[in-house]
Amino acid sequence: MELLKAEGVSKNFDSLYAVQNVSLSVSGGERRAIIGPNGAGKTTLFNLLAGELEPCSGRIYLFGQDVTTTPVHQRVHLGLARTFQIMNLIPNLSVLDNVKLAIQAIKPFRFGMFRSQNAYTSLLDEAQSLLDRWGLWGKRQDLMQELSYGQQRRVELIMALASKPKILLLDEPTSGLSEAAAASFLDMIRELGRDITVVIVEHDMDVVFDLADYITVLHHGEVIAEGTGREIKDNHMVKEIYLGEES
Amino acid sequence: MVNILSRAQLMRYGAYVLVGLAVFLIVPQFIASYYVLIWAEILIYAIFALSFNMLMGYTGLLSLGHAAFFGAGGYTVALLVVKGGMDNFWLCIFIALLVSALLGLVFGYLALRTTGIYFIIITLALAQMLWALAWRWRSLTGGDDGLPGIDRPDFGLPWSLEDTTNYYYFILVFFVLSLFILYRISRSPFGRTLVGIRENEPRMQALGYNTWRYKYVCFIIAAVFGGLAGVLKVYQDGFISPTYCSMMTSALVVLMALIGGTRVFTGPILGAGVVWIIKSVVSSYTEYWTLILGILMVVIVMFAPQGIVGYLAQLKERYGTLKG
Repeated sequence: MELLKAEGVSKNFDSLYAVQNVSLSVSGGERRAIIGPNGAGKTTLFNLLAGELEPCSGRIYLFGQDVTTTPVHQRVHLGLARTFQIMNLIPNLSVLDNVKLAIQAIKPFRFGMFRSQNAYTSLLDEAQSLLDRWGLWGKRQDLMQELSYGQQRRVELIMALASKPKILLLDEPTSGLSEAAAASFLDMIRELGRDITVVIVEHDMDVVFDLADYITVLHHGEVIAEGTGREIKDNHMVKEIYLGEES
Repeated sequence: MVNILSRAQLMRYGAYVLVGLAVFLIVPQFIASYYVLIWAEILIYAIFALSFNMLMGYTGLLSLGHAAFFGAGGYTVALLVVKGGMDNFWLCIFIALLVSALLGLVFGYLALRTTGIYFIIITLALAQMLWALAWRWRSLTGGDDGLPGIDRPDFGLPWSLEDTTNYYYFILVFFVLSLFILYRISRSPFGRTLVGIRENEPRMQALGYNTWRYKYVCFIIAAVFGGLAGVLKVYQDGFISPTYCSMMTSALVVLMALIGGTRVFTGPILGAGVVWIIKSVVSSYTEYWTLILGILMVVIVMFAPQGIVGYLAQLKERYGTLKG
């Protein structure tokens, strides 16, 4: 079943076409990578899928439902979660508070006004099980900004998982990470069950080849190739873009 | 468990509350009624500043027009009593709070379409419109002459509220109630979400929060409690003038919150006390009281930008381990 589908999606900023007539469809449980050189329109496409931007033309479907104009926060409730390329957390709150806010976002009591947040013990329990699972429970009292870059990335993923998404969008998750931190982050992704579909936008091809089942290649805002890792590796257009421009 | 208070902590908080209550209940019996009057006014402005700080401190929205609601509450009661001849206090306060909420509904809807500097300007402009209405619509509001003749509520009790000390206790009830409600809200899932919005609104949206709705509801809550402060003040003064919704009043509440500290719940209460004492007590000794207020503000901004209570909390954190 197609969980996420884009149909002829275009987005231009003034006269510049960032994304042009892009169609793609991601099925349940898939690990999809969207790659392309700098300026290929990856992040724009990502923001269109997440709902941060609205396309100028074309449609986007989530679980078969047209979400082209659905705002970000509603897409989360449908089962879509995302991470950010530039670290985007709440630096002045503790790790636990960050995770609690993430869990609370889809709870019916999120508008609750009269009971203390601490009285909702399920919140703490869920936060504990998430932080425990990824080995960060010991850091719960630390302010977010006191964590290392790699740890912050992991908390960010935990926060994305807190809404129990069916689709997880990752925007260049390993950018800025050391090799070791990147490897441990990718291990986290590998450990996710297949009940979560992952769409990952990456600049670095090596990162995605062993992670993705299927790869979409963008160039100048257009899809120029699509296929399995092997197919993409052998695709001469892709080779040209990635190697040709440098040589 | 990290979030449950220990027994010792609970007892300490209990002791704070008891001492606080004792001071607020007993001391007014032993001081001159002039000071009781000032104290009562401080409580009113504390409610006003607390309501303002739900926007400023918790949600990060700087409104320069919070006096609009102070005026809305005050003028509603004044008009009902003076022009409408209504003497049922509960009905008056109910209508006044309703009007404040409706005004918050409209002003919030308009102001929250903008952010940052535009939000500041539009809140200022909306409040100035209300002020102009109070100023120019002489036949209704009495213009700058104001509306006199607002009697304090009479519940047929042996204690007349015309007595300053009795009215002080009356205000104290509303103060404690407001403090309790706003404190609960600040700790609730809703209140925690406001903090998240203050710190990083786009992130909260990406987590699935409809942040606009939170800001809107918060704006209306602030409007209602701002209106309540206006109601209490107008009964205290027995008189209303356009000053209630003037820029001066809006600025005063910003100063109260900033001087006391916006990031600590109790900050605006102390801020209200400090500012009001300077405005009422110091001004009776020197006409340069605004100079003193200004210097204080500069000192705070330079040396304790987190406000007095914020500064004390920081000191306690730093030296807390020494005291054990």
